[in-house]
Amino acid sequence: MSGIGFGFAEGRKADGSGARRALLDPRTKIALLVTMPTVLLSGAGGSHTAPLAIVFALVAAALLLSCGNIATAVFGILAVAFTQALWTLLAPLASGGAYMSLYLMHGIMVHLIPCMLMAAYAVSTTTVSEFILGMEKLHVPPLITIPLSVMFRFFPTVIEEATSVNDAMRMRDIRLGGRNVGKMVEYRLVPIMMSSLRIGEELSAASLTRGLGAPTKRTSICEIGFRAQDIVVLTICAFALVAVFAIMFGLVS
Amino acid sequence: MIELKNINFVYGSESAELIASMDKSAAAQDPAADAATTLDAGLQDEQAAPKALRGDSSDADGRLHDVNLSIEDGQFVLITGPSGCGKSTVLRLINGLIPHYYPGTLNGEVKIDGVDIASQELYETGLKVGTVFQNPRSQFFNVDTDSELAFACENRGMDPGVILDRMSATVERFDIESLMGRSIFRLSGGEKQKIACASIDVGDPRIVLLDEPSANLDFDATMRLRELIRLWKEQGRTIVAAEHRISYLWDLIDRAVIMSSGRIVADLDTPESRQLSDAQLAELGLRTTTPESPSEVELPAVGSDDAALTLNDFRFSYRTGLFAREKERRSKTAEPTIDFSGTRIAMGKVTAIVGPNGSGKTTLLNCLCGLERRCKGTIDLNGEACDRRALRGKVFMVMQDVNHQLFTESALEEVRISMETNGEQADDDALHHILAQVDLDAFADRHPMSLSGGQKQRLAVACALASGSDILLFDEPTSGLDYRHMQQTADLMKGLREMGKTLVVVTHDSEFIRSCCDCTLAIKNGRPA
Amino acid sequence: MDKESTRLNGKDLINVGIFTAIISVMMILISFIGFIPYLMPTYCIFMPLLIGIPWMLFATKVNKFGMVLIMGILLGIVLMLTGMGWYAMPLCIVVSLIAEFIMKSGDYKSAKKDILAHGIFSLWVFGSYIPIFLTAEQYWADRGSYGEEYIATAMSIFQPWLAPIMIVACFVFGVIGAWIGLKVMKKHFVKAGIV
Repeated sequence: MSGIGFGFAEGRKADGSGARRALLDPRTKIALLVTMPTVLLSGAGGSHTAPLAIVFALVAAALLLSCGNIATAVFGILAVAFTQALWTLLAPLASGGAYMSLYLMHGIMVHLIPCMLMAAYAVSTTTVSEFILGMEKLHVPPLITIPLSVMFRFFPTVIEEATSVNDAMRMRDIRLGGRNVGKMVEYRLVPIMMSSLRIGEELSAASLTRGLGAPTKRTSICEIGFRAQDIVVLTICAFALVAVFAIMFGLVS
Repeated sequence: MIELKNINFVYGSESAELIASMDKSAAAQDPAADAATTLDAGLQDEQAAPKALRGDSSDADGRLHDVNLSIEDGQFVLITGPSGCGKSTVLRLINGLIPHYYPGTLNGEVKIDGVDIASQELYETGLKVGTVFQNPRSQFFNVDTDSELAFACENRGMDPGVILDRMSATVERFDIESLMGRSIFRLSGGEKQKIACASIDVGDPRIVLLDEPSANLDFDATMRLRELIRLWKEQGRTIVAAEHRISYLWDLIDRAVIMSSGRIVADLDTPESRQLSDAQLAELGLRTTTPESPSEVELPAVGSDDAALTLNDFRFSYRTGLFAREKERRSKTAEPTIDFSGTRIAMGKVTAIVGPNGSGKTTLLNCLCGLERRCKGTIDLNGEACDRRALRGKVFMVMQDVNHQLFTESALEEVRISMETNGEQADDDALHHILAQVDLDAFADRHPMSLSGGQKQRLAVACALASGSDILLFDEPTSGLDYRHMQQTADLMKGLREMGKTLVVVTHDSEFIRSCCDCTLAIKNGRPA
Repeated sequence: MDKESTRLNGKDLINVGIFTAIISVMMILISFIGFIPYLMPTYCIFMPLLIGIPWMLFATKVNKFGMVLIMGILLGIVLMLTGMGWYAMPLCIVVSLIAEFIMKSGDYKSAKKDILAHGIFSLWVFGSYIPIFLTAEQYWADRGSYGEEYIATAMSIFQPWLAPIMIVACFVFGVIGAWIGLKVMKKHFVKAGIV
């Protein structure tokens, strides 16, 4: 997952200046993340929306390419192509249980992959600060944005700790299988949780001394805002959602 | 002006839990961790295990007795003393963490410019007081450096334009342009501490508190930290630092307050009074006041006729690009290739590995204990070439963060699983014997995490002994330790050497090197220097 | 220190963030099993089972209303950011609220209630499956209900009737997982004096 660092193109500053300002406002990306799955699962659902899903996938992949995430884009396209090929070739030959399995796998993939690609794009081109600011502008309260920030900040830490504990187990030559699986889980989870607790306490103290939790409204050095491309994308999303609801409620066929 | 008047303070049981889970740095003896002793019998939770004595620490537990302290504006005060003396407690009183974050029983007054701190909210106190803590990894709230610098001011609701101006001023003053626009996770420890200092600086605090900021830093990074602190002093800020490693600050301070067991025992406010002899330092429980780079400690390299283990083909390259792991990306200073081929390490002796940060010391340790998968080299041990798998059975590493390598629910169990990796069935007597060798037999049933830092380290050593390893590696075993505990660790090393073990210690602690190491191996840029 | 009884303070919010991070990482790691599509339903077993351990530790830090709800919402956001869409969100909110009320009814001191609450909370795992079941519904809508077709496919996964089974599994294994979590807590965290 090294290509998908949260928000990072190195050199881009948190305030959006520097190397490249993101193409889209974070709120627009959220809109896309909400619209895409809805459309893909609309009345027609599953395999029926395959052509549409492929289009979405291509769009998401294009966006990913535009921000330099080549590996993910390529992987996504290949996955879609593979699934689609599998379906087209095998479906006519299959029947019964096999057919249903194929149908489901195809339907799931076709639905999931564009959404995941879109999510990958959103995550890799938005810094945490921009994301939080976007949410604040959507009137999401600090009660949610603060834990959200902490969560994103803590992901890499959990992984670091887990890796370290894993290394320690390897070094002591404690192997999986020799003992029961339950202990393996216990031996890993417990130190990770203890470490996390400890880091959490230190983090709390450090943050509180720097004013976290003050009643004043937070400001942000990030700059986000809707520009032409956002309006375009948002309009398309709006249309798509309206169309979906219209079909669902039978206003249009 | 900071005033502490007639302070008597005892941590509450909740605080003890908080601090028990906050084991400061690898092997630090956190004073308050030892506080969860028989302090609050009345408050003990019946379902909890009795928070019994924490062994070998001093009687102090961070509590304070009759502390009176006044600090003038612009003074640079160092508070030091053995572990548990209460120096961190004093800082916590000034920045308000006591009583708002660490509950306890507080008698007396803490005032800044006449305003009582205990009655102020933390964020209000934070306007005047900035604190730098000791663990670079756990202080930062944001994932990128710019946001971290802006954090304090954003919380205050300041205008973004003003914040950006202040940030530019700080960046220029601290010369950290190269650190901007980067992920904090990819910075080295020293760089993280710089960012921590910078984030305080942007907030323009009149008072700066430093709680053992150099504990996890190597020599060079500590010197760079010293520069930042000197800048602050020049700006006329009031600085209060709590430290064990006093040498890098000793000549900058205006005043040294020495504490012991919760009381102030000495207040040295003239340069003359601070000329202390080694004997006086030892009596006060203090570390040396003379800074010395570890590479300056003169020790012989391995003699050609000494029994030694030889590293063969110990080399590999960092992966770059797509598959590079985080740790590798962080090492911007190191060349992409590590090459320790032909290096010899004396057997039966204590070898200190010294070198600047990022030079590959920890990598060498990882290779030595068979952890680094991509290192295909072997080691000639007693004529036998040992590959990675064989090494795992013969080499044991005590990691920098010992907490990561203790998994079970009792010291006895911990030693048991190490013995079982040998394929032997562990009988209790043998296990107790091993624990006795490291002086931990009394703690056989204690949970490893309830032990103090030094005890955990000894437990890890016990596991090493149980696993039959003859080669023991240590990664910074003395970071954050006070004088007495550093000596204890040195004694432990000597004891292990007597047992015939070969010890390899990565350390930047020159006092420690002098105390127990026999040879050095200097590393630079991934190669022996 | 006077207790601000009901307002969530900075420390509470940070705790929520930390534990949600731990749970999210576990979720993502466990979800790699799903690489083999036939094993996907097993999420409902393994996720609640393993997540019970951090949950019980989290429960010791929960003593005010709102922390569990925020965790639920955050998990919903994580699911959205991993491409699972927004379908899980309503589910997350509902189960979090129910879990909240359960825990509150025990005055935040009852381990039994914490265990029960996790059973309900674990239904969030089912959130990722909603689109799959909707797709399956669609399949049947398309094919009508040809007799032999039905029998022939009876052995394959993701029948609509699998859904209730998975939901129950989430609950059952959530309770078991939390119960295990309590044991782990006592064995380690309580013994170490951290809780």
